[in-house]
Amino acid sequence: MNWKWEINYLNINNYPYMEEHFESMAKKGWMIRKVMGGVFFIYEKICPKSLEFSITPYEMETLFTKKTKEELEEFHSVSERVGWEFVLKSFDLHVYVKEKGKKTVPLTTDEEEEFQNLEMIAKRYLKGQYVLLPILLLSNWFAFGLILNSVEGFKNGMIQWMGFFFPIALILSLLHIVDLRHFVKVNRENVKQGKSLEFSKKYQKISQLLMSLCYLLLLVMILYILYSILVLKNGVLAVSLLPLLIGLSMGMIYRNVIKPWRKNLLFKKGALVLTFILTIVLTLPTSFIAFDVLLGNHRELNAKPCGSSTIDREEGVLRRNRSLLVPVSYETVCESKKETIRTEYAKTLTEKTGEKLVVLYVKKEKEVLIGQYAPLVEKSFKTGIYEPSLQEVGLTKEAFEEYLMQEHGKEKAWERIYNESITEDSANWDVDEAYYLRKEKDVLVLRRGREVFYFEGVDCTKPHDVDKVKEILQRDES
Amino acid sequence: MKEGGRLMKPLTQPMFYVLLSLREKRHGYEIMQFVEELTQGRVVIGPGTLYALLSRFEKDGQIDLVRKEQNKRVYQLTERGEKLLNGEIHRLEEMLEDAKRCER
Repeated sequence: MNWKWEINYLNINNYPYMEEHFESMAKKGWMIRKVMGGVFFIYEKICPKSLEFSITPYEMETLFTKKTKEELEEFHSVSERVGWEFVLKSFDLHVYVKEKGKKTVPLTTDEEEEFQNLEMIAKRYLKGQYVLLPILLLSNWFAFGLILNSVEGFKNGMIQWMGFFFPIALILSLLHIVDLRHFVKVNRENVKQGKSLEFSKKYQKISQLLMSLCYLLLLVMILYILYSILVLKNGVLAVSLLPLLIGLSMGMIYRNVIKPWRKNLLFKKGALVLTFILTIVLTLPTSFIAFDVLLGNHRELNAKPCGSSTIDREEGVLRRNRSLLVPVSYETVCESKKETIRTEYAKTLTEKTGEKLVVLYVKKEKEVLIGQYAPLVEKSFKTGIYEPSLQEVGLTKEAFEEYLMQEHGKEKAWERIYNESITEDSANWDVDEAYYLRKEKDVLVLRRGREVFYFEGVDCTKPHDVDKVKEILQRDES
Repeated sequence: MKEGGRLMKPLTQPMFYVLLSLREKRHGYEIMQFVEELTQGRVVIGPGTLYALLSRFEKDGQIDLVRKEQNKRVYQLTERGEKLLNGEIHRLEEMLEDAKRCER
């Protein structure tokens, strides 16, 4: 094998250790050739050599500026003229090599200047982390809220991916902040006192582990997206990527065209704001247009398994998903002017997961009831006057008046609403669990082992609809 | 030392010599050579230190890019840079005078 790779970690606060590491690898016959993402090191097999490495920080990019290719080439050519051969660049760090003992001018000749340069880079990294930190906190809260409390979080692989990625990214961000702040603080003091710069390997192992995991998860996400779009034909996911692609493209234009432009700061700030506004303007209508196209192009449901859903019709919009907790799931929605018929099918990882999914469906329906009837319940209990609409969810006038007189009457009224609306009927359906989720019996959730079915828009008081649903239950999954 | 009413830190040795060399138009390698010759090898500025300084001086408006030749960017002091350098020279002269007055 002429090549090998390792997971390591190169950053502005540890690079002298990496110089030593590269030297010892060269002695063993491995020459560093590439560092990807600061953690994936690629080596080429060479004859064992005594080499000396020098890593120098040279800031490549700020929020408003970026070094051009010519500037970088000039830096490399001058370094080469004084005896250093360029090997690779990893973010703002540039790795050079020379034969051991060869007389050259050192790349960095003043520690105070080196620190000023490192401090500038560290401050930029820190600013980025400060912006990222609240976003990551919110994302964690959002992802875990969805995974633990929603049907969507159970079925959607992207949401479950977030549940892995965001906590790791959050810890990594905190670690970077602590590490870089410490590095800057210690060395500011060292420079003041005329001491040498101090570098640290303290968080080396944990940083390389977390960063590798982040990159691995990003790869998993890309594969999942491709799989969802190409194999599962998940058009919704494809469409939802459009704004992201537009945002990335605009970011690339700003980065590669506007940043290297030699204009004043005011111009650059204006350009950044303009790019941001333009991205939003382009993104919003694209989403709406794209969703329209999607609805028009996905009426091809005849081959779907149990999700043909409609009682008498066989067309609608299909969405398929895969996730860790629910490896197989389908959703179909058929809409006409009169009705919406929705079918959801899920094959969960374990029976316990299936039970939890049923609980989440029931919870979701309770939330719908609260959303619809809470104002009426509140008003009735406040004024003491019964709202006739509450009859729809089983809270009769007599019951209301009884609860009105009782302690915790409102809670008891809600209990009644839930009991009247959500009723169990597993015996009739010959499954492990069956719940009607509305009083009208037009929403139904069923569980048979690991399989969970959800039907909305069927009328379970009609034998015809019941038979249709039973027939769907008998169909093969494939 | 004051620049635009703001109290400035004394220049470091490489800062001083880079600014001094840019009283005339020079590119990176010429700056390195000029400093080495001027100081008879006492002061050497490595490319890492030099190019970080050039970026910073340019950003702060103390030097200007006057022309680009093939892979070479030629810089020169601006009025602001000249003021900064003169301020430093003045400070160093004062220090030297102080030291002379204390000679035994």
